[in-house]
Order: sequence, then structure tokens, then C-alpha cells
Amino acid sequence: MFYETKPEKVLRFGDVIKGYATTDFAINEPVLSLKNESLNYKINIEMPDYCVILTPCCEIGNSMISVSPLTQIKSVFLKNPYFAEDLLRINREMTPEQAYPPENLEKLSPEEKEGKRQYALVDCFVYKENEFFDEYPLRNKDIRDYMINFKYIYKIKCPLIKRPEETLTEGGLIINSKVLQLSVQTRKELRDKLAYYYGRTPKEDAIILG
Amino acid sequence: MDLPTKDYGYDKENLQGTGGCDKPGDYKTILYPFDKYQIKINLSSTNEFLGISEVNINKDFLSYKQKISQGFHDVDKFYKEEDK
Repeated sequence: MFYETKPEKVLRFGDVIKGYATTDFAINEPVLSLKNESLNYKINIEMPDYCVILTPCCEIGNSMISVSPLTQIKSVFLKNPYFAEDLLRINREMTPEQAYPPENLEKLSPEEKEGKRQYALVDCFVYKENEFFDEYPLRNKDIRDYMINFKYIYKIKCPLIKRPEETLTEGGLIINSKVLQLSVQTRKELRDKLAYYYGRTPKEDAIILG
Repeated sequence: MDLPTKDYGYDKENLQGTGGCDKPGDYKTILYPFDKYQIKINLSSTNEFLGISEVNINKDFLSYKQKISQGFHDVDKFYKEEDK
């Protein structure tokens, strides 16, 4: 079960929510001095249909959450039959033979093909199709699955975002913004992959750390 | 029981890597895999490079690629979005 059939009336990590704008701040170079006459920046404000909460449950509150927008699946993912059969496999560890597109798998050495189960596409997490999500074409198929990218996480401030115990009594608009809640198992998958994404040790650090 | 003679003299010297006669000092040593070799690198307490103390042949059964495995399948380059 991907989504919870009886969602709670509080915001949770992994929840799909609606009604939240995200901002993109782009600069040509770091702003080291406000006196820099060549200061050049761009701010984009977007209103995605849906976002996903990436603040841990115990941290949700204090008028702030972190979210990532739900986006369409990249069409290139479907060139891997293992993903094309079930896009949710991207969320879990897999063998090398499952991770590589067929045309690239041939170039792996026998020992590389026998590698252990690990994550692939480590910055992506797929959300299963749902009646709330609009259908869109993807390589001659119509799908409703969407995904988030851990590279695109934004902070949102809203005074109505409170601790769960406060939300239960003052719910209202915040609870109405909640669309879907992940099941306990799916929430663990998201938490595990997000933790892995941030927890990777660079090779040069690993050698020093031993 | 006496140790076998091969643990002394020439055979013991032969098992050491080149440059393996360094004196202990105020630094730490890390083992850096480089292709089919293992290189002992001396670092200061603040991880500054001080020098190489030994070069050894890597006799580990794991290949160089396996030893430096990143922990995930590095396949992103195969899933770049095509130009429209």
C-alpha cells in the first residue's frame, strides 16, 4: 500500500500538499558585497500543483516546513524495462543489472554485474499514480506517476504551520491543504533514500576516515 | 615453538613495501588504494599531506573498482533528458 487509506489530520513527512508556492533564487556570482554594481539576480516564483513535505515529522511546526514540488517523470527512465514495468522500483535498492539501461549493461565487466543491491538515481523518489494527479503522456504511455528531486527543496514559512498537537485543535486551512499521506512503509522508503542521499561519504573523506 | 625462519631476515624484508623503514613521528598514516598498489600516506593532525612512506602491492582479492565502490549505482549519465 503506497498511500495511507485513513490519513491523519496533521502534516507528516512525505505528505502530498497543495496551495504552496516555491521560489527559485538565481545569481551569477556570490553576493559578497551589496556595493557591487554588477549585482544581478533573478527570483522565480512558481505554484506547483502539488508539493511533498520533506521536514521530518517531529520537526514540523514553528511556522515553517521544507517542501519539494511533484514533477513529471523523466521520459528517459522508461528506456530501462525494469523501471518501465514499475516506476516505484526507483525508490528501492536494486542490482546493477536492474539499474543500467540494457544498452549500457553490456559494457559492464562480469564482476561489476555481480555487484550488490544499491540505490540508483539517488536524488529521485517516485510517487505512485493517484486520482488526484493529472495524466500526461510519456513515451507513448499515459501515466499519473510523479516524482520529487531531492536537489529541489524549498523552505516555506506560514504561521498556520504548527506542532501536531496544536494543529488538531486549530486545523482548518492547513489540514485542507493535505491531499495524500504515505503509508508507514512508503514513508520509511522515502526517509531511507533521503537519508542515504545526504549521508554519502565522499571517497576522499572515506579514505581518511578509514 | 620457534618461529619459522622465513619470518626473519630476507623474507621478512621482501614482504615489506618499498620505503618501509620510516621512523615513527607526530603524524598519522592512511592507506590509499591506487590501481594495483597500496600507498601509505602520512598526514598531519590537520590532514595536511606530509609525504609517502611506503608503496605496496595490493594483494586484496577485491579489485580496485570494488574497493572504491561509491555505494550506489552511478547511472545518472545514462538517464540524461533527451533534447526535444
